[in-house]
Amino acid sequence: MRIADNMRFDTVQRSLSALRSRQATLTGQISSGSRIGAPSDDPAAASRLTRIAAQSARTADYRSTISTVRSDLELSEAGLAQASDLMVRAKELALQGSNGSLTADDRRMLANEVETIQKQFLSTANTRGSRGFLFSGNLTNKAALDDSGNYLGDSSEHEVEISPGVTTSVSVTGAEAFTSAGGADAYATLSALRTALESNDAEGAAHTLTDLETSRAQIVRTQAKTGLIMNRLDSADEALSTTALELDRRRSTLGDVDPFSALSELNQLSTTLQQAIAVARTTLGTGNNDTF
Amino acid sequence: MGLSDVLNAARDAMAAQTFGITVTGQNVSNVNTPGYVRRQALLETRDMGPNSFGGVQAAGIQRVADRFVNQRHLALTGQSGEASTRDQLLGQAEALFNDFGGTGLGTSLNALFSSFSAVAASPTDLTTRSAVLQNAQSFSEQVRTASTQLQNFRTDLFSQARELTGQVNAKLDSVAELSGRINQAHATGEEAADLEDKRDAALVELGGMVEIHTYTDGNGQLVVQGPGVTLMQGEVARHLSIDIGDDGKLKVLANNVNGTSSSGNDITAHLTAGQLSGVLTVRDHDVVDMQSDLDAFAFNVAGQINSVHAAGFGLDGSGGRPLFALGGTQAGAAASLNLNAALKDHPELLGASSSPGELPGNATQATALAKLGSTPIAALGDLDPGQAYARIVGSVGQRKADAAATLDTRQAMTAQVEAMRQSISGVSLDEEMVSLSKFQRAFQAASRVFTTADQMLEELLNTVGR
Repeated sequence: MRIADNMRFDTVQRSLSALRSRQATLTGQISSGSRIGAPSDDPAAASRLTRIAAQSARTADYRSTISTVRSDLELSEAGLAQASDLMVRAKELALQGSNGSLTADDRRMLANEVETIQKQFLSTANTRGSRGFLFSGNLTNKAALDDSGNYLGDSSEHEVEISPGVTTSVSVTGAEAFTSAGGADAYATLSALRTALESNDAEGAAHTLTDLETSRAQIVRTQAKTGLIMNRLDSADEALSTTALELDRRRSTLGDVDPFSALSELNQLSTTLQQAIAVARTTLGTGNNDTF
Repeated sequence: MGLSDVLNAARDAMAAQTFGITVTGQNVSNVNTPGYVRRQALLETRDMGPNSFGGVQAAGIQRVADRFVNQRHLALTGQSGEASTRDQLLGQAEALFNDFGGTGLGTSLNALFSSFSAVAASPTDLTTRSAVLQNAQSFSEQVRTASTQLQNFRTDLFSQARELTGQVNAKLDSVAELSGRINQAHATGEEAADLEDKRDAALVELGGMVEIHTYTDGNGQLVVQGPGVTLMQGEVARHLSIDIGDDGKLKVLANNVNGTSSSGNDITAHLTAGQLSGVLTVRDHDVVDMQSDLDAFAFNVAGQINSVHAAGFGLDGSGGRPLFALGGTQAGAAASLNLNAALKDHPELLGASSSPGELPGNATQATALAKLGSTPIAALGDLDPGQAYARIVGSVGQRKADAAATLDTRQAMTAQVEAMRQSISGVSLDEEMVSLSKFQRAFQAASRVFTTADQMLEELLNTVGR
């Protein structure tokens, strides 16, 4: 083949510019840590990365939902535990009050304590969480119990999606914990006890014991339910954290630069470039100087 | 045959070798001139019939070029021009869908679904509800911006096509003008190599912009054949013009020879190579496809969200409100997408509850909205919103990657044929050095012949004249 002078320059220029361009790409990838700077670098991977980003976002959403509703559940559980303690104390007072040797004054003092328990019970039942009143069902802007112990909420539960396709109830209502809808009306029973004690009615006080126990059991059952829900949330969260890790691993495999192979390629490239420059120098330097 | 004939022959020889050196000098001077085709001095014996004294004469110079290689070069230049334009333009379009640089459409789509999910967890929190409105607003803004930018891009491409057409016409004029001067030179027997160099260079530039091939007609005149139309024949160029069709697509028209334009000469369908074709393909295929993908995405995603949201009830107890203002048709949906003005600054109106009787704690509808993020939409090929967006990103990337790959191939092929062209027509200084010595030696020899003949003549004169 006949070699014109310009061909030698063109060849050198083309090979050098190809090497420089690869070098720039690699340097960019290493410094950004990302293999993909634009979708066209690897369209299939770019598309999958975008899907993974969406999945990761969903996973993070589930986890943040879980952590939000979990704090409300913890408050509910604590509230219910407190309520069941109050019922236990009320039972003790009822037992004492049913003792025939007590005087009317003794019973009045017991009645005073029951009144305090009632106040504490109301304040516990009207605990507030992130949605509003914890035990009012979905009517969270209303207190669960009014001053006379009437239930103002409804029986709907808060439902959220905690993992793909899994929607679950994450709240307990005052209806099931405190009202006759769940078994016995706790506040009404406390009122009955107080009335019996105030009217020095040992029989009446003894009579409330069954209802007090039913109420306590009902509250404890609801408390156990919150525990079950929390367990369920925890295991969902655990599964989600595994998913999140897996998604992150896939994202990294698809999108991250392997620093070792990239660096070694860059080193190799620098060597090649030096050689190419040396060759270029020889190619461009010979010939014409000798002839002309 | 006498001594004076020898003197004449030596004179001719010295003149011819000097001409050779001149041509060599011309080649050496133009070693780096783009488009320069090396010349060869054509020497021939002076034909004087029976009276021939063996003289030499310079018959002229020849441009060393291969017509077929040049044709191939012209064709590949067009293909490279098309590929490089498409690659460059798609690079600009790709930037609109590049989430890898930070925030993008995908990010705001994810943020929107995240905020639905947050409202599902805390339906009474007004700050959380406001976040939905903000995210819906920024999502619709991003969609609108992408759509507007694609539309602006098409407008830009129209101007670019018009500019290119202007350049094509100017180039055609200059080719026609050069052809005229070349024909004139040929008619008067003058040398036209320089003009032909210029015309070849102009043809290569023209070929980069629009697909052409050339041939020489029976009268030895150059004909430039364009896509489906003769662009230049016998020093007369036919101009191109562009127009927008009823469908909004570009039309390339070939004017009549007298300069008037005629819609009958629509050559758009014939354009396959050259920058003009690249601009056309990107404007009326690639970008149109991207726009319709974006429209389908916006229309269906926002439509689904709207229908779920409208079934929900705000804290005020009423429902039926869509989250987005959205046109009724898929075409143009992306450009018109916006947050429902009635909801702006009214987070309490967000339809998070499924029942007006269970306010404010009911978040069933917000949960349903969050679920849409992973619910396949039939109209989007059974992909959920995130996947549908990923498909757009993938297809935009694929277009650009394909264009880049095509460009690589065509550039390599062009480089190869360019090397062939250089191999035939390029100046080799080594070769010129040899030519120089060759002509110099021949000149020296001729001058020796002259001296010898001169001495003989002198001797003869001395002898005879005594």
